[in-house]
Amino acid sequence: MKQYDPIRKKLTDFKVEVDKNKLWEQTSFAIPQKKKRRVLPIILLTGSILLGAGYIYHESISIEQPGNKSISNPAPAQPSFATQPTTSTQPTLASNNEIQENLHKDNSSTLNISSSNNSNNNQAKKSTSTGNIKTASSGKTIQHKEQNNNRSNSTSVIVDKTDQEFIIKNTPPLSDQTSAVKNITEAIVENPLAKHEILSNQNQVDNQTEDLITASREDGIYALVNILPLQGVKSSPDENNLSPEMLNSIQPAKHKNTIMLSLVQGIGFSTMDLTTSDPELNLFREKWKPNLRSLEVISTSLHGSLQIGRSIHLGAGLQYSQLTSQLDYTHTITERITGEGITTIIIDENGHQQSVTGNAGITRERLVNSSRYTYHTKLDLESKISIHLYNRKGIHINAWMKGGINLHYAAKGSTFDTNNDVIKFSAPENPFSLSSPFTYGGGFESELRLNKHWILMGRIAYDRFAYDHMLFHKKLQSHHEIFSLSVGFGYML
Amino acid sequence: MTQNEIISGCKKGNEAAYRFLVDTHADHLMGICVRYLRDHQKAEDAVQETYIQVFRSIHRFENDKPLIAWMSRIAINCCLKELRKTQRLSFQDTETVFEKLVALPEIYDKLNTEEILLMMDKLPDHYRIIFNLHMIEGYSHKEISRLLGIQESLSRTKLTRARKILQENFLINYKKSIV
Repeated sequence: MKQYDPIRKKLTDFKVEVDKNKLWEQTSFAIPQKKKRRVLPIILLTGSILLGAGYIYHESISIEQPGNKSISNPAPAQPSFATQPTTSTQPTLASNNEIQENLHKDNSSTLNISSSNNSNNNQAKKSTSTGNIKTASSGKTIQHKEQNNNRSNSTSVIVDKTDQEFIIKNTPPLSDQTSAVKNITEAIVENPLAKHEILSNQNQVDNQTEDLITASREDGIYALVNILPLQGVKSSPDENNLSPEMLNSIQPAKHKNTIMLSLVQGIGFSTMDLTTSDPELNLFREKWKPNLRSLEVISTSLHGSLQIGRSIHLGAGLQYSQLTSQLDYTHTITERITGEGITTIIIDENGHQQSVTGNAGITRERLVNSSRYTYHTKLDLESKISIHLYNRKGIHINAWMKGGINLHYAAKGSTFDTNNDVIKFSAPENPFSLSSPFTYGGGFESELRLNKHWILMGRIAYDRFAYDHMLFHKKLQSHHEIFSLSVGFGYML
Repeated sequence: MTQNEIISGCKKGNEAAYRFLVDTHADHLMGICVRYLRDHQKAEDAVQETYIQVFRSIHRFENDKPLIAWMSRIAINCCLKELRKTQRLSFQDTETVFEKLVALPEIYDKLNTEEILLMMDKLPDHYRIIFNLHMIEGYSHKEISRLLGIQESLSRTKLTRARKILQENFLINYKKSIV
């Protein structure tokens, strides 16, 4: 074979010049696109969900804790009043000014007290919060104080309809208060405007305190009741504290921001449409659209959700879904077979014809109708909000919406190419790309409470899914509208 | 740019690396496609298809092999696909060649590339393809049989017949040039 070496050498080096720019234009679309960096949006989305959930959880805990403490220790403050010496310290200028300013600002009977002393800030805030009475309906704040030599108690009730805790609290004895609080208290007492306001509202406070507590119990309004000793303000014996009967009469309504984990499995169907913005691709669209149809959609979602208030759930989680589509087409199979037949016809000089029979190669063409299937799988990170529409006898019906971002998308199966041929592809050769990494959807769900922790869930969902055909330079898109029915279980923590 | 740099550049999505592949190897691939398809327009299409496949699968290429050999194989496959599509690739297993081949190395040395291509163009498609695959690309008969879906013996027979025809053509051409 060495005799062919010169030929091999010459033909191996044989080159034909090509227009590189034209070739580049025609092929560069096939360069795999760099994977979009979706790390930042994912981190931001996850972070915001976690922060939001953490904030809500923290808020719920911070409201619950003081009430529980005060109920377990209802009135330890009283004995300390007798030993409390008269304060000789003067209020700081800053504190005093602030008090004056607040008094002038508020034309109603609100009196806000705050201290600029950081070390005593918490106690001062307590004084602020516990020195006021706000009515639930108007938000009006009423100050109530009485003077009784150097001993004083102030009973305050804060009512907030939006809060769902009903807590009664006794503040610590005066001996535990800081000097800043003492100063502020003294400033209030010595301030003629504050004193006037205190005295003028005394009777009103007495009545409203009783009314509010009663109303809270009847109407389910939640209240925070604090008893604060204020130096130099006289207190009548029955105002030093709320009586145990009164405390007992207030039924604390326990409500937690519940956390629920849910696993839901669904099956659905989808519509399918093939669209293009390029008129030249209309031929492909018209040819293949009737041959394409969407089959079943299977989805699995794992979500965690947190109840906000009485009727809203915020949640986040993952959804894995698989969509199957079918491509029907007709193709020709050409095959070579051997068959018996006339292989030679001999015509002699007289014109006589003679046939020779034997085996001969025959080319056979077959038209075959085939169906090919394509599987699209994707994993999305989702956040979800749902609102209670109906709640009775342990059955909830919610409306929900979701938004999400795609974490992973893959496809394998068959599609048509620019030559109108059907080609097979594996996952690494996926010729599709999601039109957008973002997803959205919505629907309704029902929840049936099975026991303390478990919930049976049913869900109707609408979803969208669109992808570009990369072989056609993203000018050809497939759109799916997905309707699914899911069932699953939820677990309340 | 070394092969390593090209491959790593392509795997990182560096467009310049892809462009370098086009600029350096397109002419060679076009030469291969012309040898197999004989039609310039179809050869251009095959080169285009080759690059599309190369771009899409270069991330799977193992760097320890010569890149140009891998690209050439893809180009050959594209050409064979095109030939199958146009049904020019049909093999009949009925013929047997008994003629003894004569070695004519001095004739082959004197032929230039155009003359060789001209001689080869006169070969029927299936002879030319097997000759190209075996004698030029260095495929074994086993590889050819797998690639074309034929028996090894048929590949050998076709090659012998192709060489015989080529020898005859070379001799005729040589005699003409002497005269």
